[in-house]
Amino acid sequence: MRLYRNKHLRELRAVTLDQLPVGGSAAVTGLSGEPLLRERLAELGFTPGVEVRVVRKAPLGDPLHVRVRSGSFAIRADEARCVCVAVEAGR
Amino acid sequence: MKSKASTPATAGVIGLGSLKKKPRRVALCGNPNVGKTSLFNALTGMRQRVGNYPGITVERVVGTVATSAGPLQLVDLPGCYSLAPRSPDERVARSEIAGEFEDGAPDVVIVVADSTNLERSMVLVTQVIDTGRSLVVALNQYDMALADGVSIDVEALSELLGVPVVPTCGRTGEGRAELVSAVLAGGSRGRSLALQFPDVLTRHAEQLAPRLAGREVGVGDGLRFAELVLSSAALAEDVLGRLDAEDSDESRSIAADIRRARQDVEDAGHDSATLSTELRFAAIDALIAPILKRTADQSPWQARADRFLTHPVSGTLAMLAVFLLVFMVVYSWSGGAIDFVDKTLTALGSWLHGLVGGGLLGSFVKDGIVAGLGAFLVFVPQIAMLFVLLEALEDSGYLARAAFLLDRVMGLVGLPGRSFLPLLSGFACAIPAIMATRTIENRRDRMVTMAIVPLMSCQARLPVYAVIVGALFAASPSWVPATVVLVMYVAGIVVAGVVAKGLQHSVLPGARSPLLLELPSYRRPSLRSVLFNTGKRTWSFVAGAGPIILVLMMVLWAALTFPRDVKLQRDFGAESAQLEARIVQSDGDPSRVESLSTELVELRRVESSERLRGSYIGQVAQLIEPVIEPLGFDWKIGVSILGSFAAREVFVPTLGVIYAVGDKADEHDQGLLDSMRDDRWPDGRPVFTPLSGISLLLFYVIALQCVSTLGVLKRETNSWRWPVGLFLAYGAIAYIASLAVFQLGTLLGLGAT
Repeated sequence: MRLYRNKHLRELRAVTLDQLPVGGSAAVTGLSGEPLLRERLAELGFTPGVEVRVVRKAPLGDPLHVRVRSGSFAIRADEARCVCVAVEAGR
Repeated sequence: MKSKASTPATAGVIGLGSLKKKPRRVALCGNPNVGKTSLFNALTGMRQRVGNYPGITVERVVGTVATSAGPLQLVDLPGCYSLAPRSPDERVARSEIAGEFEDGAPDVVIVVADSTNLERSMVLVTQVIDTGRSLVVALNQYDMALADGVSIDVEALSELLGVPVVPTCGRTGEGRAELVSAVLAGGSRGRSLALQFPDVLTRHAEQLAPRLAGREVGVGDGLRFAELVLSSAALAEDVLGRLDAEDSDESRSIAADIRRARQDVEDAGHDSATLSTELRFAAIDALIAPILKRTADQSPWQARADRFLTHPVSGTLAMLAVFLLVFMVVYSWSGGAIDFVDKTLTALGSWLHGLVGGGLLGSFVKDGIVAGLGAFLVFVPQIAMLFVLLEALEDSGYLARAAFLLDRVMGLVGLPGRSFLPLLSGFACAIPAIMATRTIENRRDRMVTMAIVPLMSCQARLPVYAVIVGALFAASPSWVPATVVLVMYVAGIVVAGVVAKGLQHSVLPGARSPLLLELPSYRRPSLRSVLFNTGKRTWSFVAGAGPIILVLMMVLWAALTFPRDVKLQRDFGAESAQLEARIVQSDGDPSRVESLSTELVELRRVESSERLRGSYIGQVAQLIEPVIEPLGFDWKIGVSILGSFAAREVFVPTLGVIYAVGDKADEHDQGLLDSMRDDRWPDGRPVFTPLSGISLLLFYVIALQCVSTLGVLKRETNSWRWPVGLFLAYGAIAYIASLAVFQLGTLLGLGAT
């Protein structure tokens, strides 16, 4: 359910989580930023292959309400930028 | 997969006895928002003690569980996502499991997992298994999971992990008996997950493991521990920090090896910060896939609630309504209860006063002890009522949503959305507001919020504002006093913003902490947990801050009362004896008795006024008059300011005593207002002018004149550094601000009016 098939990878476009539109979902491909932040993001469930969805943006566009591994998190755009995701091209 | 997972990584653990003794000490750990505290309350009931870990602000809550096999000691560890420690909370959780505190290691660890979010909970569960401690897993919120369409094969899970798994519901207490018997049976060490570490890492870990063994750098110094050190950023940092602290040739060489090994792992194309977590999740996903069935990502009503409550418009309106309710409770609805405490204590004071008679002892009992008790007991209703709401809002999952909506706005002063509610409560009273900062997880954010709460214009400042504005702007159009008061509120907020920024650039440096705030599932709050936690908070205030406040109040009483041998201008004793004699002589004549009584009251007021002038505080005020004169204050205002350090409420009654209109004066007392207007400096200038009034108002906005706030700051920060530092800093800022206003105003010719 969660794992993106590798065969799709060619059609995927790499962006970061903060660039997803509200309601959009994508698969995590990797993490960037400080080591401690990367590890915390991974512990919250942002691991490669997992699908994330932007449920909502707070007033003024920040932070984001993100759904990952059947949990919800509020995460600022600064941190969302550290989550690399792949969306299907053309979406 | 599961059959390969049976190699215990605990082979190298020393001291975990092969003889299973009867468990005595149990630790309760779990992710935040899994209902851990509800479960703790369900297990221990009222048998809890709240303390502090030495030197840090983290609380240590210990409870007792009554069982058929005698009492169990249960430690409630701070919520943590991982045993790789990042925050003081997580460090404490880890150290407790490692047995680094004086009580030693727990015999059994209960790991509270969230049934509605099993995979994330399993990270901590499998990490505890890696430490080699005996554990029991409590599958909490099991009822909610069922309602959400999640089904878990509990027996299969227990089989796979090799530990007892008990479904529980902290809210109702279901599963409590089964959990206790699983703990009494001693739990089980479980099977570590097989993590597919790359060869380069395993090679380094095999060399490292024996060198780390027995060095007290962590729990479970085996191969698994070494593997984790090379594949987790936080754990590596923690272990390297401990090795650096050990500062021996051996520790330096180990640390260098760890750094080199981690570099090798990086060079091989792996992320040494996240590798263990990623592998763990991959193993967990594979492990639970066959035993976990989920019909939907989220139950529909949860999603609907979120659509409404985090919506920019409806969510903001709902938030305003909720916060208005909270504010009203603290600001006005607690009034009845406060009055009750106040009246009861006043009655107690008068009764005791009557019992021990007047004079010094009577004054000590009434104005020292009872007033000192009042100085903290009067806050109990507000604290209790605020915490009932706060706990319920937090427990329901709503508070996190409000923090989400407010995060950007609070970001203007570098604070998270969580800071908003404590600051708002600060406009009612700083005491419950400072306690409410507990809902802020990040230590630095919490400290900054606590530091600026006292700048919010609390209720106690209102009488001060009213008396000064009433005395000085009575003749002005009605918008003038209203504007002046409004400006004072704004001034407090502005100074708070500046102080927050200043603290973030000096004492508490660093960028704004990242926001990774869990928005937990909505759920009905547990009444029992709400009441228990409120009781715990309220008691920690009474027991922790109460004695400090009481002592400070008695010191202040002494400074206002001594010395007793003041040189008085008249012989008040003789004069009042004379008056009393004449009242007795005039037996029967009501008009004569009345006029003589009035004269007697008048005489006593003049005497109190003179005694206050001669008291230590009066002497200090006269001594510092040259210092405060540039602010437009004379020594009488000085006495009121010094007296106000007990509480700002004291300002008006103190002025009443000085101006000999009696200590019952309130801010509407015409006699007091007239005396203030008529008061003159020796050179004939009026003491109270609009300019000196504004200067005084500003001083009251900024200065930290509240013994109870100092007491609660000491209790909450677990040190005197913050209360003393803030007291001095705000005193200095208040002085400079008032000085600037008064001197600039005088230069501009605004002083005389």
